[in-house]
Amino acid sequence: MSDYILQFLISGITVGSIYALVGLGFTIIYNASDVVNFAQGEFVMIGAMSAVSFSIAGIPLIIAIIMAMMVTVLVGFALNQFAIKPAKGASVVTTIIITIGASIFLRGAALLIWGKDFYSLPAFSGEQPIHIAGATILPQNLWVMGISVLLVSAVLWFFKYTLLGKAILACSCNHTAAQMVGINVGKMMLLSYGLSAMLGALAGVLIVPITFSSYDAGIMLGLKGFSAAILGGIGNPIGAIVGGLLLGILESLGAGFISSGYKDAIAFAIILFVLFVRPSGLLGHEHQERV
Amino acid sequence: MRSKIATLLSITSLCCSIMISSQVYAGDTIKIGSFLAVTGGASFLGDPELKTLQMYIDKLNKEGGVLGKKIELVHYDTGGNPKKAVNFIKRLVKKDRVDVIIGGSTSGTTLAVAPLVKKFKIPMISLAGSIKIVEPTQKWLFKVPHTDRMAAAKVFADMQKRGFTKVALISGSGGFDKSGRTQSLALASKYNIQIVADESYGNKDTDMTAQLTKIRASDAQAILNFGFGKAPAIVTKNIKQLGIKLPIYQSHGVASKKYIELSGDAANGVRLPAAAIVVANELADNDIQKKVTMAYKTQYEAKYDQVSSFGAHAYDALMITLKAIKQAKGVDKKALRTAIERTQNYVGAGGIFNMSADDHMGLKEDSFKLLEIVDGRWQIVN
Amino acid sequence: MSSSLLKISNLSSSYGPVNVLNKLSIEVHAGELVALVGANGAGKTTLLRCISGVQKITSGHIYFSDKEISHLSTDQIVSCGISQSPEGRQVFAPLSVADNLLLGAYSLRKKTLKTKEQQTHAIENIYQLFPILKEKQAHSAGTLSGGQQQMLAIGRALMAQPSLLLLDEPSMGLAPLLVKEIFSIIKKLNEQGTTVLLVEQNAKMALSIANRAYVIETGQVTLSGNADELLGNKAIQRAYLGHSL
Repeated sequence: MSDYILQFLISGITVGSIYALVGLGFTIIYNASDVVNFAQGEFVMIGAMSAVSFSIAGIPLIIAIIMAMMVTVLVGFALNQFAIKPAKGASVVTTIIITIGASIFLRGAALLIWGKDFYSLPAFSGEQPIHIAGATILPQNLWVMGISVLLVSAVLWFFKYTLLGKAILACSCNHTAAQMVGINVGKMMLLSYGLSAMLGALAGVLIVPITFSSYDAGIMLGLKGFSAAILGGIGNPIGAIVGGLLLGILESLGAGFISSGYKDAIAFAIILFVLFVRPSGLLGHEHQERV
Repeated sequence: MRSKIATLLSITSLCCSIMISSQVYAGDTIKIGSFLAVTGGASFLGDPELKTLQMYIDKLNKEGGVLGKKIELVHYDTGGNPKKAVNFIKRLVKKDRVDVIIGGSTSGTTLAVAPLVKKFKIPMISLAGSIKIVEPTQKWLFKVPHTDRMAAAKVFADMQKRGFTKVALISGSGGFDKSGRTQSLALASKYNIQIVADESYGNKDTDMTAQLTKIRASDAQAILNFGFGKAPAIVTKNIKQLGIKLPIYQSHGVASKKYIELSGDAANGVRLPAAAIVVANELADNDIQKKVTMAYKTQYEAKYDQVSSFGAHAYDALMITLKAIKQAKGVDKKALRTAIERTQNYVGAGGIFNMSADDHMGLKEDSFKLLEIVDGRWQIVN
Repeated sequence: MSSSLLKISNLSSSYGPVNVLNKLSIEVHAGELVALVGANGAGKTTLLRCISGVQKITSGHIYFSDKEISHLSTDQIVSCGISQSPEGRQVFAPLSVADNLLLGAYSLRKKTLKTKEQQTHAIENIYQLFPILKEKQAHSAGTLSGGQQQMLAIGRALMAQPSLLLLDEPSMGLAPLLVKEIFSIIKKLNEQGTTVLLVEQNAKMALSIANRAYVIETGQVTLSGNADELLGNKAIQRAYLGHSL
């Protein structure tokens, strides 16, 4: 029984790390502009698919990964320049709808480029499972978890300790005031889309050996990453990680102990309950503002 | 002003020429209607199906057509949507006045139009899998693909031969997967097999180790996965990750090179039922289906990407239709229907078809080959 | 006092079809403390927004140190040396007091406030001006009281070390005692050499510390002169200062 639970937890943490990485991408753009970027899942897909393409073309894995990240960052820039920026002054809801449209467009473009097939990359360091007290884990899972920890620390550090990070936060708090202290809000937006695209691409590259990728892989990942971010408290990088891991573990325990058919329903029911009790998410700030 | 008149004139003349030409064609062509899921979630079915129909109809027209008449394909894309399928059937029959219909790609679209097919009294050959299309038999409705039940039967027969009595079932959330699960549960006892675990997963899930951990704890002697797309490859890899040594069976849903590619080493030893077309290269030279499958494969792959069993169903449907048209010496709907029903010994890409008034599919279980993946390649078992 | 630091000529601006500024012209000389007074909706805030480049102008010119700035973006204008404490304070509520001040110096991050020491030093200067902010430096700005937020907004604007400081309604919503304190600080800042353009509804208070003032009505300057003269002007007294003066 105990090795049961351990295996469920390992599965949950692996899947949860993936959700967390995607959720982290939502956090950055949300922090810059209060916009939930529903094309975040597409960043993950584009990162994964271009890494596979470069790798198939014979480029060494590490360079292929860097190139895939650059491609995705360019897509992020383009999304900001051609879809978000022209709608400057539009409401947050309008902008969110624009990102949904952009995600459909990107999916269509991916369909044209890569077709409907699934693609995979070889695991970074083999596929020999590692045994831990009756449970098993793949080396790639460790990669996912390890890099997730690194990335979340980097993002936290960026927002907490760098002037640039604080400037991005300032843009979302108050656009006008941010301009008035001399922050080029347009540049910050561009930067945040580029950053979250890079994060998405890295997530895609990490998980493609485990989950595979296809032109429509971004939908599910985007949805789960969004749920993770909301559960943990959107805008808070630690929240995204906590939310992602929790969602992964809930799904895994749900599938293991209750019913595999209802695992999504179980997870979403719990999310709804949490949001009902704490509308700002587990680690979200209550709005504290005195005027 | 002048340009406006010119535009009007050209539009009028264009309309006239279309009307004239369509009138001329009406008598001289045989019209085959089709409604396939070329876009949307089931596009992996509709896309090769439409390509196959177009390719062979073009080829045939170049060679002079059938009974001296050209063949015209009238196609509508359903996107897999049954409501659209219903509208398209009405349009095909009433407006386009087609002689026979091939489609749809999915069981949902086929079953949705079945009452209309009966009402309009038009022969239709479906390319969908569900056994409900031909059981009970409906007068005007036929189908060519193998059923899920045949796949389950093929797998269970092999399990019985190997002496397995306890089997763990794991299946996806799609229509194909669910139907396969239902058929497997219903059929198992016939082969003295007990389903000791019945797990499921979402088709877009990325990890199935929780479900497989439960299977590991059961006393199953083999695992059967009814699934589609990338999920079965993840199941296969997860089984290896968990160190489960049980033999793995998959359904015909994964009978493509992609499955082997995605699963990597974990795919070795996996057994599955598949249509002959998947292993056309590996078929023995004296195999009765060798010629037809190689011909279709060569034709298709010369123009498009890798061949699939789905395109092959469209090929079989088209060939059965053409044979029937020749036999009926025309496209009188009644005569055509009877001719299709009398299809005998047609060696197709999917198997050998022997239809009758009680059997509107005409395939036997042996039309599936049982394959094993050995060193990343298909091998036909016995 | 010969050349003007800020010169605005024939400036017009509108929100959609509504003209808010109508060929308005003012001047601010280096070292002055100039007040803009006028009723609610006269266009005072819009004028400041135009100077900062947050509000688009429809016609006219804005010169700063003889250089036209009306086509520049807000961050470029801040770099020129104009910073603003906006109406309603608009502090970055979730960020700490110290971070708010640090961001105030964003335009100097590659110039005079590059190093941590320089930044800390500049922030210390603000703390000397507003000691309460030092006490609250780790608190998030949203938790401060209205008066403290106002101090933070002014401090943040000062962090950019501006040659022209724009203050929009610094007394709004504050208790009389606090208003007095804020205004004495503004006067002190001006005496230390910062040129100030002050927008105020509290005309009496504004005129009492200003050198000169403009009275704005419906987007135009209707009266201008030395603050003392205006303070004695009967029409002004009736319109903005109440009878009891």
